[in-house]
Amino acid sequence: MAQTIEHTATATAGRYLTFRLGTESYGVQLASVREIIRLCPITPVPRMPSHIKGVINLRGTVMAVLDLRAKFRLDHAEMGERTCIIIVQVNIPGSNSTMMGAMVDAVEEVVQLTQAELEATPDFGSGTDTQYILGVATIRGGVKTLLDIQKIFLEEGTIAISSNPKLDK
Amino acid sequence: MTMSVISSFSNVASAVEHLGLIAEELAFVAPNEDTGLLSINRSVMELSDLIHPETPEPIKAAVLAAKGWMDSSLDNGCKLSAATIESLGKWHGWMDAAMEATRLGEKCPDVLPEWSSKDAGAIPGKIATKVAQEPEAAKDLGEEPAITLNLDSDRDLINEFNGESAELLANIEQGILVFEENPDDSGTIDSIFRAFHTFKGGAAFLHLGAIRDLAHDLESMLDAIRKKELRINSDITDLILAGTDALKSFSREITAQLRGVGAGTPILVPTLELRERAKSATKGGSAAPLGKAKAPAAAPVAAAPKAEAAPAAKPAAPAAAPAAAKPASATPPAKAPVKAAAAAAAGAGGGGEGGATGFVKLDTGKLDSMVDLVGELVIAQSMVVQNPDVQKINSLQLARCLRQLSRITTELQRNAMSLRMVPIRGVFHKMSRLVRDLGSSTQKQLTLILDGEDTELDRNIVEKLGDCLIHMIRNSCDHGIENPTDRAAAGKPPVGVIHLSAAHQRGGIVIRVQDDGKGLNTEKILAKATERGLVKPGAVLSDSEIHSLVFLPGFSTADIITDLSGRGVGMDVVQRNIDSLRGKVEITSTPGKGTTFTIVLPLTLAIIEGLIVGIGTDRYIIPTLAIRESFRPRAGTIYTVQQRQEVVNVRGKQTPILRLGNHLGRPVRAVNPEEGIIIVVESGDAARGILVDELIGKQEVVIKSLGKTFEHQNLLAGSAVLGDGWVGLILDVDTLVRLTPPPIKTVAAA
Repeated sequence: MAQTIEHTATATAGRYLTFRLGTESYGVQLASVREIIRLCPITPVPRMPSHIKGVINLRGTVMAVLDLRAKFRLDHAEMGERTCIIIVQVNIPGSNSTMMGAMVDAVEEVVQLTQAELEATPDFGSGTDTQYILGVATIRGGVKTLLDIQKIFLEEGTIAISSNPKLDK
Repeated sequence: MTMSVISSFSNVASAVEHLGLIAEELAFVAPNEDTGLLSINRSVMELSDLIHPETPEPIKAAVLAAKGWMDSSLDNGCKLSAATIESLGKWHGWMDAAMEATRLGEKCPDVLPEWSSKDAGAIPGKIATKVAQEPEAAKDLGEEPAITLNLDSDRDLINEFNGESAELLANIEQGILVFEENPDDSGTIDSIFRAFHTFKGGAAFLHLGAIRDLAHDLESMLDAIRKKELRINSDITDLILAGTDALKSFSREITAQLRGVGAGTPILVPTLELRERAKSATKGGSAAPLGKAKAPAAAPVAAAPKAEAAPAAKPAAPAAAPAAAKPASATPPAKAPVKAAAAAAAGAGGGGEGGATGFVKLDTGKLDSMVDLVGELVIAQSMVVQNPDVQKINSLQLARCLRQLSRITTELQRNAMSLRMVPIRGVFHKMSRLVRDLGSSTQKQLTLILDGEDTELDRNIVEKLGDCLIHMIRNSCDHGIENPTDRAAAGKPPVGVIHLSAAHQRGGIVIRVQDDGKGLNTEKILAKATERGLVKPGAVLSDSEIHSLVFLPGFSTADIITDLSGRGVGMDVVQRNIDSLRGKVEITSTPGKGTTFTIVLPLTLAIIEGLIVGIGTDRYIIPTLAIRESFRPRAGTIYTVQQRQEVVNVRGKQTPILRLGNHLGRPVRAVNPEEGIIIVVESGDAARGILVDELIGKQEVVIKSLGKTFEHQNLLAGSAVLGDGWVGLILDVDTLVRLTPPPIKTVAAA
């Protein structure tokens, strides 16, 4: 077992929503998921990092949508029939919570994970960024990577974007 | 005392804010005027409410001292004396120091001896009041004072006061009901106390002596209760109710006069007896009616006039009124005064209970959320109508229903929008009072000409606009318009004219403050700016650039006001306020001829009118307020500079072109400018010709925040949901005009 895990957050038993990005399977805690919507027109926002897909109108509320494939630097793929957006409630410390969307290839299922099925993040060495990974779970022979979705979105709200758009002076 | 730092107030942030407000007001007060008095008073009241048991003694004393000064100023004809202003200045400095000390956990500085609470009664002004009031009391309920409304000049203020007072009285009555259940509820006592205090302030401001005095005595009594020097008993609640009834009678009569019934006649409501009782109660005596036989006071105040009202009100018909008014105001009581409470009887068929009819007080949050929802409804409606499936249906019936739906939603939206709209009149009329007062204090002859008072704009905007106008008009009066001798020397008529106008223009509201004074002194402004390091020495600036310097924050410090006979008092505040309203302010000035401030504001804060433009497959919204014109450039009218920048001649001015698609990094269709449209936008002095592929349309859109994710960028001002459900991004024009256009190379859309 790896002893060098830097982040303190680890996966806990509970219900997870699993989804696919390419051939890989990921899971997020169901508690932070508000709803899942079919792919709808996304307005691109110029001069944003490529993984910020744009904004959508969800019943009158405008919210940002993230492309998780781009975020994890996976191969680009065409949006398919089953592409959908997972709407997540993000709790911003010291502020109201806000909603954001994550675009994924397909939603799989909701699973109940027990502590026995959970494993800490393996040590991949320095080549792989594991800061958003809470752990992995093995169910029915398949491996699912459990993501810290709050952390992914919080970063979008603070660091990633604030440093990006340097307008010409 | 505990180890932790003891905060000076229960809510330090709010205390600091109120101190700030006081400082701002103090910058504008003038001796023997009422400018700023009410707002300073309110802030002081708020501060005193923030005192908690652990507040250091010196701060407590200082706040109480300030309260004493404000009270005596309110009692003494509603004017701030030079001494009070000086004390307040000193006081503010001390408070600042004290707050800082407590914040750092240091010991609070000692309070000045003259402020200590034991001597609070010894404040000069306070004595004056006492002295002024004693003789009245000694008259043994002599003559009842009557009040006369100055309807000609103060109509709007009186109207406002009357509306407010109906609400205050309702609060008081409600409070008393709670009170009878639970006499120790300090929150209720506070709220009643404050209601009377506000009442007093308003009445004093309008010189309604009798009302002010009654409210004052009741307020003093409640203050004693608040301080636990007095126990509440049924006599006291009766007295408060009776006082409320008397105030209500005034209010009814004022309402009647505002409607033109017996306008100008003195209003008489017996108050002396009530005041006597309040005073005696405050001193710990009885609050019961004095000699039951003599006073049909408490409840009957309301009842008695009813009997007399009918005969009394009739002779007060308009024709008789003016004649009666003059001698009456000279010799207060006598025969002329109409017994009060006529309104209910005289206007029997009319408005019913007081001035509150026809108005509902609403929580602004609810109002805003309703306006938002109506915006959503309009979008949903247009999504239905434009839905391709729906359009395929060939049914007359459906078409008719959809038309009906469109009509209703449009109407609903217009109504919802109008809920937020108020005429600018109220703010304008406050200005005419300001000019009148300024004229007398500066020894200048001034006229204010108002134009377009009926122009309506968003309630939130009107509230913020008031401060800006005060700053600008003060500037015009103080620094713009010369004194009569100078004016005569310059060959101008002796009376300086300030023209204040509002009008719908350019999709927004344009407000102008125009004076015929001496204009801005560009040399002095430039010299001052250079000295302050705002401009590099030797810089060559155009006149309009120099004029806009006065909006820089560095120009609002006190020494400049005296040094520089140009302007600059708090102009940065104006700029900031207008900016926060998404508006613009410009100055034009001609030496010797005068200065014009032009403010352009959006109609409302929730909705903007935007031009929807297309770039490739994207759509963006540009607020029409910022757009000067748009045109399709002809071949040969566009020139390049150093092969990098392009300019186009717009009405004789070479304007840099910004290819929006390039800048946004999005593919475009119009590779040659001739295939696209140039939209000329401006912000401040800067202008840009923005090249887009096409104009899609003009539309009113409800502004939506882009949320946390995009709060650190300045390219987009927000977003809006368009008719087909798509999100359109609103461009921030301020940023666009400041951009260096990227090189001309263009990516063509596939």
